[in-house]
Amino acid sequence: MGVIFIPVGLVTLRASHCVIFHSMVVEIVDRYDIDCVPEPSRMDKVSYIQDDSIPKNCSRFMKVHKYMKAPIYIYYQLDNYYQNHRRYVKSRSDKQLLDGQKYRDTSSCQPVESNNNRPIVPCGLIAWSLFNDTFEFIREGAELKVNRKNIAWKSDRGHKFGKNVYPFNFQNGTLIGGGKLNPEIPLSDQEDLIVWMRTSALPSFRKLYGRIEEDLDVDDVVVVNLMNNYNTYSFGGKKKLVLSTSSWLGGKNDFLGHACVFVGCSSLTLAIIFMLLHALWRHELFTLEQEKLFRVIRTRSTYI
Amino acid sequence: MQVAELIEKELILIGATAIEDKLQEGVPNCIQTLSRAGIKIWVLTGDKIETAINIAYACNLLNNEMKQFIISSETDAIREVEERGDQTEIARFMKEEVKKQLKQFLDEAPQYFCSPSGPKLALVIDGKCLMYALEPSLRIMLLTLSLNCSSVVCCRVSPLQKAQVTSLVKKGARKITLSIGDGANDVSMIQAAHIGIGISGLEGMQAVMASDFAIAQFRFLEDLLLVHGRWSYIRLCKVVMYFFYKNLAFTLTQFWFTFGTGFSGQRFYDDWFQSLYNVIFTALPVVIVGLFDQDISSSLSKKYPELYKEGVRNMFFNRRIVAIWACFAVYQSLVFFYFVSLSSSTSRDSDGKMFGLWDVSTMAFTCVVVTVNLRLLMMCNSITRWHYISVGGSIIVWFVFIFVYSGIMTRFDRNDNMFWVIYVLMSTSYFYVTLLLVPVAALLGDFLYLGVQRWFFPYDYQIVQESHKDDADSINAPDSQETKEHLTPDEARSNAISQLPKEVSKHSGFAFDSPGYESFFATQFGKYVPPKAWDVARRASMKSKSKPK
Repeated sequence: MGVIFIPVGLVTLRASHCVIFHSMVVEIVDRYDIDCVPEPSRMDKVSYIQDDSIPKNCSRFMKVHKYMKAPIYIYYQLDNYYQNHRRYVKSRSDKQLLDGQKYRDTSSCQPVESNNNRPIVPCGLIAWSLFNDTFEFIREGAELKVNRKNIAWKSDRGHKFGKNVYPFNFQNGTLIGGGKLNPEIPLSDQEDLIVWMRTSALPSFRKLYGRIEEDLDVDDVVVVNLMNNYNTYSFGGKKKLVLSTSSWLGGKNDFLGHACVFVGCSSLTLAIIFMLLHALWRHELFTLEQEKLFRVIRTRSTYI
Repeated sequence: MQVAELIEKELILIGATAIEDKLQEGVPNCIQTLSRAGIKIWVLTGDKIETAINIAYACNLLNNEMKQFIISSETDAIREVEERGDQTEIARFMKEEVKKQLKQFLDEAPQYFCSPSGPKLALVIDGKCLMYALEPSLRIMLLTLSLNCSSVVCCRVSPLQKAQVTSLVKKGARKITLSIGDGANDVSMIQAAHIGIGISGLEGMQAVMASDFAIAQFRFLEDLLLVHGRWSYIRLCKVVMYFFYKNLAFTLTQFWFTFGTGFSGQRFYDDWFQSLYNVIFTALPVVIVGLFDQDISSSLSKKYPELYKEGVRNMFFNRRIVAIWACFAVYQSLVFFYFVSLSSSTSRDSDGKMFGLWDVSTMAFTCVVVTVNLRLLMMCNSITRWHYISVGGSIIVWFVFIFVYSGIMTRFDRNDNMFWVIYVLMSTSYFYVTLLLVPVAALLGDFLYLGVQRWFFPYDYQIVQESHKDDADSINAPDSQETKEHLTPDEARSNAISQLPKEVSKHSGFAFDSPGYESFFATQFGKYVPPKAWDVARRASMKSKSKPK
């Protein structure tokens, strides 16, 4: 029993840490997919998003309510988007990502395998549905520099996407699923694609877009010029833009903070209660003399 | 007979021989301990009724305080009918007698039964009567009567009848039966029972060859049942329950995931994780528990034979226990899935990169393996170094496996493999925080339940454990001499009385082979016993009367 009290004590220590970090991360979230649709198209958002003639630019304002220290991470958040659906997760070919057109067995990418009898590189639904909204940030008239390099896992860039593989016949079909890729840039440098292809676990997720390397002060107003290209309207999805700082534990996570505190407190309470029980109230049954113990066991066991 | 009497006269007595078929050492103690454990003991022997009764007295199966029901075929009435020689009449008459006696005893039995401090009941039945009592019409009465008695002695039984009696209890009463015997005449009985035990010894190895277990002396039965049997039951219950629990916790975590995938059937764990979970990561510790777990030491198990009743009542594997384990498995799976997935939704490494599906699932799987192994340590009664080695070893093997698995990418991998997942995870402090938080949160419920159960509603074996936890490891209770100072005057008196020689029972454990001398010896004691028709002494005295010519 005593051995279990030790991790309990550790947990309580952590509870104090949790309370500290809980308040350190600053986050601004802005949902823009409804407001960025111009008034006349509000009734039929799907045809708006599919109509190439309507300009898709939109301006949003984000007010900084607390001092944010660089680097500030820019995420786009999608809700009700099931990147963890079985057919979706299956629909890719990692070998083709490494070898390019030389690799022929891309049947797992159906139906986005080939177009007009020519193979698609990179094939599959995941690549086909690449997110293509873009964001520009302006503060006090001056554009904030956004670092769009090094946003994907280094292991992905180095080992999963080929350095000599170029996009080919990509997004040429009748049904457009998302963004287009520059055929001049090899896949290992297409960081947006790499970030997008790391499928997420839950239907509501964030993906890294870039980094702002400057500090943002309180009451700064950041103007965001975004291109609202991506179609989440056909299935009722939501799009949000998130600016967030980071702490040693990651982003702002109410759940983790609360869970930490809760587990820590309850463990501490239990530990104290059991220690008191052991120390103060010596259970009478456990300290019986042997004669009495015999009798107790015998009477307890006669109820067959 | 008359020719013998003509020859055998005026002989000079030179000496006498006797055969002593001693009881094995430790048998009375063993039988007494087993009956304290709630095991009913019946004796089925080929000896005659007096011998059987004497042996039963010597074994503590019968004593003077018990009310004995005797169904014997050596009563006067039966002898008379037998002398007439008509087989059908004998059969009919005996059947009637047996039926009458059974009914009479059955009617008498309840009155003794009702008072809990009343005398115990014992049944003694003869082989010939048993032949009629085992017939379908009387069988139920025999069974009911014998189940109400604390001991049953059957004498003059043939091997077939031994098997028949055993089957009667096995099928009729639906209780677990164990037969123990040492000779070839016990083979059918050994095979008829649920468990047959042969004693290897002087009478040869036939019983041993037909049995499920073989022991060398009768008194080892105590060890076999109370120590090894009890431990085996506890270990089996633990192993089975743990297997269900760990698979339930593992699978339900995936189940909660399906709610978040649009019910599309996407796996949460990698294939290799699922396959190897039961083979490598959680297999060895439970095997160690199944082999080595002891709730109390062997000497304590024999000292408190009442603990055996826990197994008889099936207290460790019934619906309630299964439901409790299942509830905890559900709770833990909820903790695993929701803690991990909700806390990883915004967690990232120091460079802001987010986790994907396989990162989250590897995190969850690590928590599952660690928690499930720690839970095993919580449910052991005795922990040896092998437990620590196997639990620690399983967790280390998991880490070694995932290091190797995610460090290698070959041409033959499936899509979206696990490359580099664990190294990415372990470079974040989120991993370590969650690895500490999730097992504690998951085991909090179990800890609370076990603590409350042990403190407020302890099992019998837990009481024994707690009272003896300060004893030296292998040595049992201190010498009785030392405890004398702690006894009250009353207890000291009863202690002293019990150490006096016991009152002499009229059954001394000896029985003579020939029944003819009963009346002779009775007169030696000053008692008058009417001689029976076959009494040799009477015949001798009659002959001597008619002798003078």
